[in-house]
Amino acid sequence: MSFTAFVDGPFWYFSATVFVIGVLWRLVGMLNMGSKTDFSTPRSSGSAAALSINITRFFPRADFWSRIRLQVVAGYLFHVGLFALLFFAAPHIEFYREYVTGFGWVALPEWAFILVSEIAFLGLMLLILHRMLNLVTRAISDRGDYIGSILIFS
Amino acid sequence: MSLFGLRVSGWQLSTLFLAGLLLFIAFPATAQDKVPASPIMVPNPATDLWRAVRQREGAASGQTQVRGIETGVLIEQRGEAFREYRRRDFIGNAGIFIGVIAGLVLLFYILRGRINIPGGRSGRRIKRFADFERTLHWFTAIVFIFLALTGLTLLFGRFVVLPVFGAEAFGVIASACKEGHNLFGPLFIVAVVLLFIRFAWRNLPSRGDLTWLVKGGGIIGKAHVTAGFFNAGEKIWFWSVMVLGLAVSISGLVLIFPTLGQPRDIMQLALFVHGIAAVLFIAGSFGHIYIGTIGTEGSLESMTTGYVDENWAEAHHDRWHAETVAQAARGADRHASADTTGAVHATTDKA
Repeated sequence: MSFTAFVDGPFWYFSATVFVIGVLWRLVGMLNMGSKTDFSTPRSSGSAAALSINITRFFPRADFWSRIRLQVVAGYLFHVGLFALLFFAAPHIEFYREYVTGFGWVALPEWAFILVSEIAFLGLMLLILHRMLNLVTRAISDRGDYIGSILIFS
Repeated sequence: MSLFGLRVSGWQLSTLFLAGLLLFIAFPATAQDKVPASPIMVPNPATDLWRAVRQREGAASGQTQVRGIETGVLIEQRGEAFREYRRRDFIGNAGIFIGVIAGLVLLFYILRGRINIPGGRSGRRIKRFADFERTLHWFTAIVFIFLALTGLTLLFGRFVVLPVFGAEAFGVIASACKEGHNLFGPLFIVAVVLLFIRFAWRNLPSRGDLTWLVKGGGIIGKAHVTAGFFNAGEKIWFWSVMVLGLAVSISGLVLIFPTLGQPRDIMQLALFVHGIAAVLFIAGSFGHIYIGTIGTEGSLESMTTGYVDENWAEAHHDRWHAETVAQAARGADRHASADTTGAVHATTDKA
């Protein structure tokens, strides 16, 4: 079997299997955590507060900025880059059109595709290194975090 | 039809003609088996034309409807000459140079051995590099090592990888190396820019640098060599990284975007500069990696934990050590405190 046939055949199915198992592992893990009983009574609409927090948490508190700017900047670089790759890379749009949605949308030009790939890689590498080098993040990280990071990088 | 008084039909005459033709062809062939004859030289009228096209000195350009860089050049002789130079001269010399530098580093280690901390470890630690600085250093290091490995595979793979793994595997490996090299190359540019922004001001020349260089950083003689946060050797390495980083970055961008309109001469120059700068970079990194790891006790932890032993600081960067301790003692503008393990948290943490 040639290398190309191997990549297109058995290796593709292996990768897809790892992906599905990984997603299920994460989902089951989160569902098993459950949710604690909320003993506090909201002073006003809980939904409005949740929405407010969702928006305000996009920006770090000024008091913490000097200590967490690396994580914030690298986090945005990685997630924005990954979002653009997942939903606006031409091969991915073609995949969605053929197997999921039945329709496609405008894809990134090649130069933009390369640029967002670079941005995503840059952010992810900085985040992994920060996880390994910062005393606090290193202390609260376990094997699963590193495996997850490496799998995403791969 | 009558032939020599014999009545023959049309198909009989045709058969006779074909038989005669075959005999005519067969007999000379039989004769050739017996007596070797020199081949008949049939001049190809196009030969002179193509020889003239191929062997002319310059790259004379003709007329063509195709619009683009050098589309009027039929055969570019200098491309072949450059390929020959790269394969015969550059790759061989590059391999020798890298091997010699690696050998010299090994020889130095054998002769000098590891440089231990004078007086051993004190047990007190001083903060040397902030989280961001260490993250930036290792980001640069990882990207550099990846680029070096893929670049060396592309440079020497035909002679080293191909004979071991075979043509098909080498094709896949070389293709993957090229794609990976092109993908991670721009990240290295980002790393160099960030390194410059973060570290340039601390690598400016200062008093004592010349003395440090004259004394070889303490290798020559046994006298203590004074140094600040970075010694002259580290500063030379930093500026080498900047210059070589600029060279590989610019030449790399020229190579990675061949469709931007640059002519062949510029591409060849870029490939030449990229190769020379990369080989110097890799050879220089041997010294940096050696001194930072097995060559000097206590150096690596400055980049793994951010802290160094106080005796290490006093031995290798005495002026910085004195400033830091004095600042901590004064309880200066930034906080400095002793924790339960006796660590001195000093003052350069900006992250």
